Amino acid sequence: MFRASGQKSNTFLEFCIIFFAGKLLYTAINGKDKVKEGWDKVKRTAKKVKRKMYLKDNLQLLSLALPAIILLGIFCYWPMFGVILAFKDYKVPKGIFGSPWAGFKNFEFFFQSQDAWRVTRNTLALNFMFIVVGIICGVVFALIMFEVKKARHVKVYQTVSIIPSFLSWVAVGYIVYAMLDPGKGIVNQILAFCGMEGIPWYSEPKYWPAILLISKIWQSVGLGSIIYYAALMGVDAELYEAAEIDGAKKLQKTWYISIPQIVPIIIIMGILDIGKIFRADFGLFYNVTRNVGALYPTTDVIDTYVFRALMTQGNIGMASAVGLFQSVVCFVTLMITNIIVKKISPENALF
Amino acid sequence: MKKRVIATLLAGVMTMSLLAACGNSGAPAEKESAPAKSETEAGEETAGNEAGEPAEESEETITIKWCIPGDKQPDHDMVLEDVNKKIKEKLNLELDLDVIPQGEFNDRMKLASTAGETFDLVFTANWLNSFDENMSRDAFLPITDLVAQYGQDMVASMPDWLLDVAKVDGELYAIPNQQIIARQMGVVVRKDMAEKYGFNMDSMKSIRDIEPFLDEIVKNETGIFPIDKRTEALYEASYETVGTYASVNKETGEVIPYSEAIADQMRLDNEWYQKGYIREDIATVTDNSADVKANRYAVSLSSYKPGWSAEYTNRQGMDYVEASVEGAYVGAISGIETMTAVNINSEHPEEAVKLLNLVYTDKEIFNELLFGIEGTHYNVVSENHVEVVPDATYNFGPNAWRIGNQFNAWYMPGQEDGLWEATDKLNKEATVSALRGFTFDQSNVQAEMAQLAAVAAEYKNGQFTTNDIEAFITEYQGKMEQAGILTVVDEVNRQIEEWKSAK
Amino acid sequence: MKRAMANVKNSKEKTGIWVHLFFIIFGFICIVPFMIVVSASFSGETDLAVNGFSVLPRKWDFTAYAYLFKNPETIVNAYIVTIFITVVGTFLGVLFMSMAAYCLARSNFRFTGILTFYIFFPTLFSGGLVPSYIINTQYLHLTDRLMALILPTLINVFHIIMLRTFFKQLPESLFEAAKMDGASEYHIFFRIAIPLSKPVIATVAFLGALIKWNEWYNAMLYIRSDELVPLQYMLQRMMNNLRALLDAMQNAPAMVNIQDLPGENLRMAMLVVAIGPMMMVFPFFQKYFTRGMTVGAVKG
Repeated sequence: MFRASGQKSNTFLEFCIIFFAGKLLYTAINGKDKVKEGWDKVKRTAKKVKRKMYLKDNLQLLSLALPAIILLGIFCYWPMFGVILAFKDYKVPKGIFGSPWAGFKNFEFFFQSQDAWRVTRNTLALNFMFIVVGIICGVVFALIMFEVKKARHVKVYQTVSIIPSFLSWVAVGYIVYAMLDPGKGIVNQILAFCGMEGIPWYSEPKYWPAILLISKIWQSVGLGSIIYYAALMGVDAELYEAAEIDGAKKLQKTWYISIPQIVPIIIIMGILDIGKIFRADFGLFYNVTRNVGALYPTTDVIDTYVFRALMTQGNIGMASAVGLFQSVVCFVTLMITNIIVKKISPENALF
Repeated sequence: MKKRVIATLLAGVMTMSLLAACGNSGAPAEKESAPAKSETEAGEETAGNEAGEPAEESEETITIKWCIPGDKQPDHDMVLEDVNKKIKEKLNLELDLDVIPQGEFNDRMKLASTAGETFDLVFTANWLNSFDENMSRDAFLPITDLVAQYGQDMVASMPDWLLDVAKVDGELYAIPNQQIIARQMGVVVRKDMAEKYGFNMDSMKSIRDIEPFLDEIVKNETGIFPIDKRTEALYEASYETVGTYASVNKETGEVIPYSEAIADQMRLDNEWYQKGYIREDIATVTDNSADVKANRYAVSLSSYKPGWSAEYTNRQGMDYVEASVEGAYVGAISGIETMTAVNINSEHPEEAVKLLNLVYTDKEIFNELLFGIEGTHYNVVSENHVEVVPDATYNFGPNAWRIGNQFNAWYMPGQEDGLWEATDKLNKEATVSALRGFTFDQSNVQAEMAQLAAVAAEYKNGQFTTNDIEAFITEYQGKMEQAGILTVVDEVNRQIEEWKSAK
Repeated sequence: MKRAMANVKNSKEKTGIWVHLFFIIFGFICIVPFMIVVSASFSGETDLAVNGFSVLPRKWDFTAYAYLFKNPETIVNAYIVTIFITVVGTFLGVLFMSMAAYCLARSNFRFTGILTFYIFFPTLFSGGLVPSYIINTQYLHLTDRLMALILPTLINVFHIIMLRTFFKQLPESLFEAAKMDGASEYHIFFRIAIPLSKPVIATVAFLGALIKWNEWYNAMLYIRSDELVPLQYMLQRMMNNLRALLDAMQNAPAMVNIQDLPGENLRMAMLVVAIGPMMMVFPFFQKYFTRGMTVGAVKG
């Protein structure tokens, strides 16, 4: 009854061919010598498709994905026409489509800005640091959590460690201020107690990448590690048993079983984060630094800069322009990352 | 087998319900069979602020929707219903006053206006729902003719220069509210401190005359901050700002970059900080209202108005005295702080102006909007004086300046008879800027303005804490120049010349 | 090695002392700042301004909570609204997302590449606030409906990708076997894939619930009636109103005694009121992180 149906669907086949033709084009851009290889691939796949077409399965699967497809279509794809706002001199009476074109005028303010390089550099460098350190800490945290054997203990430790994730950046900003306030701050009091001179934290930009990193990791590591912990839960217990029979030590088990088993999720989390590398966590950069101008050399990021520049007079077109710029850069970095991952371990790539 | 069917059905139903929820884009509202409707149905009938709604009722009474920032009072609906009876008698109109929290006002109005919603009247200013920004996307309706026809009463009560602020290329785009408009520097001082150190307020000619008094505070008082500086008094004594980054010399009329004009003020700020007049953590304090409440400032330097110290005394539970420093001045765009404009997409602009005129001039209606219903929300103390009942469920009194003519409001406890007249007199007798009537159109320099805003915010408060003020000023001026301040100044100069020759 | 036979899972194993030490220290770092927040919520505002934050209140003061609970019905109502949108939103969201993720994870699905791209693309490009607002208000008529708080945020692409990655790791042989027995894809999804993926589904559900719980911006844009205001937005509004009141008083005489009004302590109290319930439900999700219930158990 549920035997694979041998029916062929021509439209489906065409669709596949178009899709692979697109892939081929991409290969062509990447290197001409690969074209032949690409053709072979198309032929091979076409054959495979013919042989293994489970139309029914695919319909069923597609129907499962349908709600998500529809929701994304309505709430994400439909509004995308708004991208043209970046190229418009928006006038209310004329509407989005009727407003006059502005060319690249809306982009000028950002690209001509003397701070464009500074905020771009800060955004990329800080986010890159957050991603790398965040993943390492999350994984290590999950691995240590995995060493806790009693379910009761796991519960307590996990609950406590996600408390910071419940705090908004506003609250974290206050906490950091309670620590670093030059006068009443706890850190300076400790320094004074040790006979050292207090540091005027809020006028020394050089410390702030580290302070932001610590705040970010502190706030997110508990919650972030849960996904890795969930992945460790899925590791087949037999693997550990087998390793134990072979006399493997704890660290060896971690290194040779646990980590390889969660590599796919680590890679995916990395890719997802890199897809956001050009967008900064506004709450973090705005609240934790208390928006102090003296700290901008190391803490000013694209999102805070745009907020500052457009807060009072800025128009919609300018905001859209920066948004579009961020999107394009994210798109490019994500594609590059995906290609690299595909080269190294194809099964873990996003597309 | 059975389970498979159920699963299929389940997935199918989910999809269908979603389609039902999302697909009926054009369909009328009652057809919408929202799948997971909330139990609370009360929300459904709230009269729409959306397009098309008022049209049905147009034959009877037109409803005018007026959006203002503020704190919506619990008895809002009740008071509005009562006020509407009176408005209906006079104009056959109804008012739908939409009170939106101030923190949301910018976002909400920008979206509503951009999306082409049909609200009628809206609050605008230079600090909230920016007038310039709205103008840059043609969001307001020109109302010169409408006001000439339906708004003579409100115009009659204004000083003749007041409307100039909202005129662009000769067309009027908004109605400024009346309140304290002329700007005069002043200080409010804690009376106990002033007496203790024998500070003679009458002797103050320039803002620097207060320094010996501040020295005493630094020397002798702990736990209180000498001065809460809220204005650039030294700068304002000789300059007024046009187009945010161009400074016009009040005497010579010369236009120079703001970053140059502000230099002396920055030096003074730095000197005051070094001397301990300004609180040490000025750069990181984001909100000092707790300190103000606790009377922790000996002096507050701000913009003067009649009845100022009485207000402080009443609010702070401690005696304060006041003094003004420079003469009162009406700048090129004074009055922009609180205005009401007509939305370009309004369906009833005529009625909107009529209604605005009524609220602006009719004492009874205006005061009912402010204080609610007599006996329920307030009691009359004497003629023109009212007192709000304890725990009143309606009290919009402190927001008078947001909706019309403050001078029509009844006095509250702590306000003396004749206060409004005194304020009005101050407005009318003030020196009026030579540039009055000139409004800067920033559309040619928008990119520069945005960059300048970013740089200005970066250097805000830095002048206090820096150890080398000259280097700081040089750096600041350099960055402002790179951000295009000279372009803006040139543009301002050009537009002023054009304006002068047109006059 | 006796433990080689440990079929009864690791409960007999001992946790290393350094592991405990690590978590005790880390727990301390997490709890102390939280206590600073709680303590600030119980301090007077003036006290905070003069003395700064501390781990325990110097003097107990309940003005912030008194202000918050001035109208208990409204706050209870706001809790109900928030719980409703969180529960419905999380349930539907997790269901739809795992359905899509499963689809992407299956090797016999032919459109994986293009569908992944379709699903992922919106995280990179978005049309921005203005077009969304126009669509939601003028075409979908979501103004003042709870659907406005549920539908637009139902699908979180990152969570789909996470789920997909987990589904992919389920052994193919399980699916093949089910196919042999004549099971449909729906059957495999609901009866095999879901039960085997409880830890990740619990994770995603929790992360999703957290986002829904904290939602306020959409509420600000679309909700008009007081009855439909969710908790976070209500708190936000209270704070804003307080600001507005203080601002208004710069311009007009006092109508209330400002000494009674809270400030920063209110901000902290809001936080405590809002996160309390979320912290209490966490253990409910945690229950699904039980060790050894995944692949091995089913195979055996």
